[in-house]
Amino acid sequence: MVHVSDQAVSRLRLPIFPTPLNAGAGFKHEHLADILRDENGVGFFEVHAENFMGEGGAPHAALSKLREDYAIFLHGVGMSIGGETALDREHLKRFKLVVDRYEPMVISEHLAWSTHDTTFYNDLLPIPYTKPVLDRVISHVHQFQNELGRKMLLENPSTYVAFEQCDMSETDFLREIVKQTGCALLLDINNVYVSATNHNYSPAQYLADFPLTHVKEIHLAGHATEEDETGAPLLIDAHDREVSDAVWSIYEDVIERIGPVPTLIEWDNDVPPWTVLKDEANKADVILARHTRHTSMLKAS
Amino acid sequence: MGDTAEFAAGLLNPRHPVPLLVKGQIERRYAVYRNNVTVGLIRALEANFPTVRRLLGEQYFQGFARDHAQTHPPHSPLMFQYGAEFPQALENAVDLASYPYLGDIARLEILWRESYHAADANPLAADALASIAPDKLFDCRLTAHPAMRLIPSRFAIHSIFAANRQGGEGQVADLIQSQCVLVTRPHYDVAVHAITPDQFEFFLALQDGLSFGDALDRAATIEPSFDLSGTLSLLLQSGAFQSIQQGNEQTS
Repeated sequence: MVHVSDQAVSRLRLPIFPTPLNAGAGFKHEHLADILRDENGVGFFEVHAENFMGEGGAPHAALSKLREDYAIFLHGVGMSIGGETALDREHLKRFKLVVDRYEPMVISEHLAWSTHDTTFYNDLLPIPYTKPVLDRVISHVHQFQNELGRKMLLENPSTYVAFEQCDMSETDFLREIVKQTGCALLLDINNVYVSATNHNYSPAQYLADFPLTHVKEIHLAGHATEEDETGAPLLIDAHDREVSDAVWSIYEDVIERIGPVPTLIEWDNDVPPWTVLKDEANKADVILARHTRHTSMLKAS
Repeated sequence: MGDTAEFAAGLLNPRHPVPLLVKGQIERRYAVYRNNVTVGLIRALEANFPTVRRLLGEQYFQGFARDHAQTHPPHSPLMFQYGAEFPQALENAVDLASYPYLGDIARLEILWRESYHAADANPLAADALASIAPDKLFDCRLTAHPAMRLIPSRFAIHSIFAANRQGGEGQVADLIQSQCVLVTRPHYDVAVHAITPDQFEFFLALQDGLSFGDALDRAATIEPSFDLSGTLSLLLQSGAFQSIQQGNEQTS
């Protein structure tokens, strides 16, 4: 006799969607009315987990409504997985509550830190790629996955500085985390382009070394262009404008190689009207459709 | 020192040198993180204290928020809770001594946000008290709605808040006039109600679990001619309470 656990029953509480073949958008509360009126919509919505860690009210009402019609991807921005400081147990519990409440299709966090000691810096800060740092990140990914009872996606960072001591490349660092924790990867192509430009290497070479078979989601966003005091280009991961042509071109190369992958447009600052954000998602749809082959469709669903 | 300890040391201190572990010690590059951290915290304070921001003006608020972020950074990843020490900082600021109401405005904005994010619950029905015999009413106790908050003030915080936050004119005639505020969120919209000091005592006593009769006594010590019927009508219409208990029964 098959025993159906309470957990399995509760999983049926919310609608189950197939893996979206159309691009998604980062959810902004000010777009809610337009989204609900929009008959075509987008492939899915992604939300920052921390914004839904209050107990109730309008944020939860909005997300509950959205969850009726869309797959939700849950993206953490405050877990500080890269940090020296132990993961915050209260924050892990809060994250689990959001997961239980919305049954997201995907859960992701960053290869970065934001808390040191007891101070939360509210930014995605960089780590040196060394063996001791690798060990602590692996231990944090294990802890996060164990707490949530499911696998996570880890996102490659955008960085503005390099470190004096570094034993391995970012791609080898990520590969080792995947190997030891079983997590998958969230490939942020804007981050690839920003970091490659800032550290003067080729995005193509980085992607040639990247464990692409483990990529389960792609992020696209806009960046700002500045210079450092040596006159070298300094790109900032600003999420405040359209995706650049260079990033679209790299995106198409990646999709051509690995087939369609759920793709998200992030636009968090100077948020445009819903139609502008949706147009960006539709640009990704065109590229996804161009490379949708029968086999990849089977794989994706 | 570990890598994040060393990297963190200069994030909120612009005079701290670029950490040695940063390759090439490039100031402008480390400054991106300094800027991201500081601007991110200023934006969080702007989002949490829009009325204070309007009262101080954009430029002054930015400078004050920057100092506050550097001296009182958050200790939780929940940015909508950031700023617990902001009211006291406004009151302690020598330059702001002629605006003594700012602290209570900031406290009201914290309560507004707590109310906005509080758990959902249905408020008491409009006729919840109608079915209770008058002689039984005085023994009844109420359970506060999770989004209900109360704040007393020596200043006209309701008038100032309403004039500056809810699209008002920004001008308040008499700032030094004691006002108490009841914050409620019966469904998804937060409402702020000006209440008198005796009403404040009455709601506070009920929130603390005192019976109607005891709450009435408390209010009467402040104002012997306490307006019970007007207060009960506000109690029901505002959605401040979610259930009523008479003996062992419960009605919602």
